[in-house]
Amino acid sequence: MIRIIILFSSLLFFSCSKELKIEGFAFPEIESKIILNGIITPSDSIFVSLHKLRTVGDKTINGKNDGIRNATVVLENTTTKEKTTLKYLGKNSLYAQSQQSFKIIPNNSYHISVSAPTFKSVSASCKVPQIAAVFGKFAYSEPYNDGFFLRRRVEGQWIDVSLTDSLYYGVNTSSQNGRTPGEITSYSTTLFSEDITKAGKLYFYNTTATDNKFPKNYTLLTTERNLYRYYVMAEKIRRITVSGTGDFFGAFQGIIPEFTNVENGYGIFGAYLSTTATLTFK
Amino acid sequence: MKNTVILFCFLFFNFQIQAQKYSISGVVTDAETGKPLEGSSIELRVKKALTAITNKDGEFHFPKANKDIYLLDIRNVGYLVSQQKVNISSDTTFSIALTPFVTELATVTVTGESIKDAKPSVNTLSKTQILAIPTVGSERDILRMMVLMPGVKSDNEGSAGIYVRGGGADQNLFLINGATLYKSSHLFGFLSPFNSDVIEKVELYKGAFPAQFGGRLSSVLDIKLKTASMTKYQVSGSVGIITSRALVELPLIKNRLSVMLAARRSYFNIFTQLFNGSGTSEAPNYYFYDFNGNMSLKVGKKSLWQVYSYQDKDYLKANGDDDLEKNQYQQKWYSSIIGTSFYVPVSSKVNNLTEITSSRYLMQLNVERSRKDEAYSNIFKTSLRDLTFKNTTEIELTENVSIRLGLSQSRYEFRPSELSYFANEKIVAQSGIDSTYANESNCWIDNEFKFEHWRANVGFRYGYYSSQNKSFVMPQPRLSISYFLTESTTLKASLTRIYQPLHLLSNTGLGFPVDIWLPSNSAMNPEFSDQITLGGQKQLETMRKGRWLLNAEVYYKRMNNIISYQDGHASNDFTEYNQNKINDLSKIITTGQGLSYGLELMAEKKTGKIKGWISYTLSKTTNQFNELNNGLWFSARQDQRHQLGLVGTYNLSKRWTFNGSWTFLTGQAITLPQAVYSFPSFDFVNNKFENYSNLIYVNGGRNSYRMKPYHRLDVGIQRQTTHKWGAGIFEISIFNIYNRRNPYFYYLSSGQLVYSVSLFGIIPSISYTFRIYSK
Repeated sequence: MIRIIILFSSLLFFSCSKELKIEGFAFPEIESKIILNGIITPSDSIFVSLHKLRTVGDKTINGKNDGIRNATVVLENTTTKEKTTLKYLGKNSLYAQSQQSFKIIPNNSYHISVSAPTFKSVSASCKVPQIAAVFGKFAYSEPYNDGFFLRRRVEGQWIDVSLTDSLYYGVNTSSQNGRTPGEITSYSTTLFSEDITKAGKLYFYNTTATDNKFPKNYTLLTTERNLYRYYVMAEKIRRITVSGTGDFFGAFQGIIPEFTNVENGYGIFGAYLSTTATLTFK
Repeated sequence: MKNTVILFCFLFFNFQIQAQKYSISGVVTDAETGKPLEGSSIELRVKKALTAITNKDGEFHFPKANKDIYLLDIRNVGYLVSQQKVNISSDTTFSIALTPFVTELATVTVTGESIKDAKPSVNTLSKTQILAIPTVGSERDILRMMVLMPGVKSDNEGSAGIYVRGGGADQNLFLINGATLYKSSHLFGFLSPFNSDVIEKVELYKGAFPAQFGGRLSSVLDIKLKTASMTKYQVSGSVGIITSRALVELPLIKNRLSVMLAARRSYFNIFTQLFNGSGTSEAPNYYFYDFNGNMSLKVGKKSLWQVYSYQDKDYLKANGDDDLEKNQYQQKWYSSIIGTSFYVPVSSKVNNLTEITSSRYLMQLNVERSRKDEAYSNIFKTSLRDLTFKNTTEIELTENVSIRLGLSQSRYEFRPSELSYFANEKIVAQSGIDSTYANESNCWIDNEFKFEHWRANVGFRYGYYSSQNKSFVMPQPRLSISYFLTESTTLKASLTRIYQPLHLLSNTGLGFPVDIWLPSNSAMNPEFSDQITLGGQKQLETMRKGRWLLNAEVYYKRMNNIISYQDGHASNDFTEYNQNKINDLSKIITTGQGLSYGLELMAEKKTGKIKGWISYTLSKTTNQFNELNNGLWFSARQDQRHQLGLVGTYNLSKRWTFNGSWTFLTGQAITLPQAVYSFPSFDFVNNKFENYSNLIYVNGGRNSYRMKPYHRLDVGIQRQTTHKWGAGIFEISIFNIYNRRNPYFYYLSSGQLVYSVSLFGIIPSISYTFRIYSK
């Protein structure tokens, strides 16, 4: 459809529209900061990724060389006061610690601090959810044709498990089918927003899946507030990028205010629990 | 248009001592239609000239004239100048007829006023002013002309939308003969829907709204359609590069019944049919048309019954076919007004106007896809319909005091969003926002006081609005005062509150227009604004420099409950199908507030071979929404600090005229990121970071950057011609003569370079406008 619109509008405006590169656009110089991404879950190893904040248009730093390699990353369980220092893995700007050395425990709070030469130190805190939500019901519809594939509507339901702190939910889908257009794939797609609705203490997840024999895994993520907010922000940015803020037909869709719980830096330090349900169409 | 004018002047002579002043007054009417001629210039010249402009009733008044012999000079655009010596020794009555100058084509009649009649915060366009501005393809677009006046800004060169005193494009009320027009553009926003051929009078209220007006925060564009001549037929038209127009005025029963029919149509589709798309695609098809009709019937001696209609449509169709499937895209925009009015002068001091109007707006979007034996489509519709009854009574209580009383009742039917998804002609899914009805009642009173040294308009409008079990009361005080320091100097002030119970959701940037009207309800309260203005006006007259009118005004406006899309949302939330999407407006829309203040200056030269004006606006406009920009105040999109307009016309001879206009605007406020960082994708199932990253941009603040300033020079040359059958104007105009590449939008490319996209470079155009009339 976009081709049609472009074709028509080109006829209207092509002869007169013009695109000019603005040389030396004055983006302000910014102070480089540490970008911390650390997402923890019980009974598994701990991974933290560190990158640099870059000025827009800076040709000297890009996604391949913006990692921070010489940082000191200290993780503390503020409930038990236990501490550990994460080791640099040597690639992907990752720092890690085995769960055998340092455990992530539900309902415990954690604090992370990062220091690196030439950067201001950053820190952040999070609390691991106390209990994981579990899919209570699953249902799927008769197949229908959406114009490309036979599909089924899939609905899941669970009960809010929040106690003292409000908890938030996402669903991750995966299958053994590989990548098919319109199909849930083996690549994780975490949905934190529109496919999930709420009615009182009940949550509903509505989606579709192609009608095939392969088992489909639906992983229900129970997160604390900051992790949820960060992913909602990232999803909005992704959607705007896909819609194309700068696209002629994209319609300016505004900007997304950045959210972070990292003091003096950007990124996210958050925790989640997960449970998985498997569905196979009959 | 051939006009015949009879001027009735009533001059009363009384025997008085030499120092006594005499009051001279009169009225100017059109002999053909019996309508008063507004805007005629009257001068009584002796050593020093006394000047006056006829008001909307064609009346003028010189309250204090000395006993003397004067030269009475009467002018109106389109008529030959009348001059005669008059001896004023007592109150006297004159009767003078002006001879029409046949080569002058009618456009919009003069709405100029004497300095004492000038209303605060009102922009008017006179016939002289309209003819002074170069056209684009013969289109004398009223909204594009308004932006050369102070306080009115355009969005950009691809849009005919206007921003008035910091208000959004959704805050302007467009009235055609008192009926609301909800669709405000043709050609994706490039042209306004107003055909200048059929317009009798245009007034744009920017503040100091009389109590009879309400419903939008920032402006009221009050357009009155022509009444067709009741004695002579007339046919006029124009051929240009964008549209062609035709107007017919027919007297069906002489001096009793007449009809006016006018139509305008674009013909892009003729050109686009010459192009074929790739493969089997047909050429895209776009056109628009509008139609105006007006029937007037004189009832009795002075009563007038009118029936009028406005219809328009924009239509876009495009196909994209390939070997596997066919795709079709159609978008239609409709607008319709039907109205009737009955004007009854009950007595010489009381008149009554009853109006019943119905207005409708509809936008429909169809997307169809078919392959082999399967066909899928989705249809999106949004519409609004209203039915309004209004009655207004004007009473002249004394020579100095008059009141206007009115009441109105409107019923709205909102269908904001209806999306249906079809598979093989069966509905498989539907979504949207529930349709709803709303009722709005208003009553108002306007008191007008006219005294020697001051005038005041004290009014109050009381509104009641209900929808979806929620009701709102809308009290709206109105006050404007003028104080005459001297005969040529006036000070003005006004204080206004106005409510807007209807909300308009529009895309904030590019894309085809998708306007969605929404009612106020428990989630969205009516918008309202408070505005205060202070200003002054001075008329200068010198032998060397001619007559100048200087105007200065400052304003301060606060807007509340204004709405905007939340970040990450646009009209495709409604137009694109998503089975899981819930059209929860509270998650799509945010409400906030706005603040605008500024200084507006205008100097207009009204006489001489060179006429024109200079306008300048210095203003600041900011908005605040809890859901945007972290709740902080930010520059509004329409916040353009400086605006300068220069318009000039030079009459080389009776037939040749040069004109030009130059516009300058501070660059539009836009948002671009300041910094960027990598956000590695995370696999929640396997608890690991992926090998690829997304980018997250860090914004310095909403609208914290500025695009390049906008400026453009348009020039034109006109030659007026006379023929046995009538008159014509041949015009060559050049839009953007120095080919300035004004930015339409900026974007950040994937290489993080900033690009500016501009739409229109230099555009020459040629047009011919004609008028055929009976002698």
